[in-house]
Amino acid sequence: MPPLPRSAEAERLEADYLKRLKQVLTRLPNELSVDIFENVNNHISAALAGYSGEVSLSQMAQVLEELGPPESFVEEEAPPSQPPPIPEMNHANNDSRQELSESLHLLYTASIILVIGIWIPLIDLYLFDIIACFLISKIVLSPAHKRLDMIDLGSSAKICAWSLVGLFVFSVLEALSPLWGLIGLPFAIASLVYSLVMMWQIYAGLKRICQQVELSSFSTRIEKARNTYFTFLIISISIGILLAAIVTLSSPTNSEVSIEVMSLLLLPVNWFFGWMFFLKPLKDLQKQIESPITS
Amino acid sequence: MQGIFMSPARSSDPFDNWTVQVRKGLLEFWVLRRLARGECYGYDLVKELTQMGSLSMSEGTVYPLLSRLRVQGWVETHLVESNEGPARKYYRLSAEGQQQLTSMNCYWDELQSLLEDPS
Repeated sequence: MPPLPRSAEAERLEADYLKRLKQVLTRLPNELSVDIFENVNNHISAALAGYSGEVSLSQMAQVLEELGPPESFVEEEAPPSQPPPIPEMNHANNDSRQELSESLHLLYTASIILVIGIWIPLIDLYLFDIIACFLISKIVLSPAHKRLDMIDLGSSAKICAWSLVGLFVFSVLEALSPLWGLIGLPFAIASLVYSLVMMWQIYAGLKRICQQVELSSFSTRIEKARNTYFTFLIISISIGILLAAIVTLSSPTNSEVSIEVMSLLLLPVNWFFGWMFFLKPLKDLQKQIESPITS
Repeated sequence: MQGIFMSPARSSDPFDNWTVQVRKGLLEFWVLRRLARGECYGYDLVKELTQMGSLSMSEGTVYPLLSRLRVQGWVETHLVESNEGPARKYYRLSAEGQQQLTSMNCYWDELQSLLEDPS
């Protein structure tokens, strides 16, 4: 029987998880790693078999959360001669914590640029967002910041940045003809989707960091922030769709206004709330990681 | 999902460390004894283990163990096609696994009698 269909976001989340799993399993002998990978893959499919219809992002996330992080599959089986899969972070290794703290600080700075950018009226608000996404991508993909362990976020940030570039270009062209605005709609959708993916990946990355540095209370905060963000997301999408429908029905010729209203609510607003709801926990986490170094 | 499993490297509580070591030692024994009762679908076996109260272990511990037991030759697997999802992998005890289990049972009985009467 073929596997259940997944939504694009769910498929991406699953692919990211399996990719990370494959990477960590390379620490084990080939025969073991192949078998474990197959088992986990089948486990995901079996766990999802209980759902009907298309598997959503939240359903996939729940299954993967129950499975646990990919690193947990090698903690017991890695040969004793090898270092533990989460090296030196369990104990107060100052160099490691310093590196991580600096990486988190840069990520925080890029996020601030993103949040501020939403409120600065510079040509459709996208320029700062584009800069921030490229910056985030550069930070997390740089070997100097490998401790963040957010490679998947780097790829998503790049795609999001280029989607925003496309959206920016077509928004400018829209001044010539409204048709350009419609053509730019896929870029708007892509940037929205990838912003959601980025958000999920950042939360997941921060939770991993909390586990590495044994700050389980922060892990709970990160989880609450993520849940609050997605609640706002659902509310803002609902309001956006409702308002767009009202505007369109009241004045059918104003479909561009509807699209603008939806764009306003779906893109900048949920980005704003999303990034605000993790900036404080991110900053506090960075301070907490720094504190054993300075104390 | 995680039960009360904590890696010794993460916990500073001696009791927690001790329970972790005890559970790790018993997990293999439990799996072999479970399979001695009859073959079992891997997913169900994992679900049983993750919900076993004091002996509960995470998927991150169980799946590597099952793979290791298979590589060691103590368990065998076979696939059964299913209408409800992917092909199901069933685990059963091999002849060698049965021998190992017999040895473990004897050792377990010896341990129990020693614990009951330390003198």
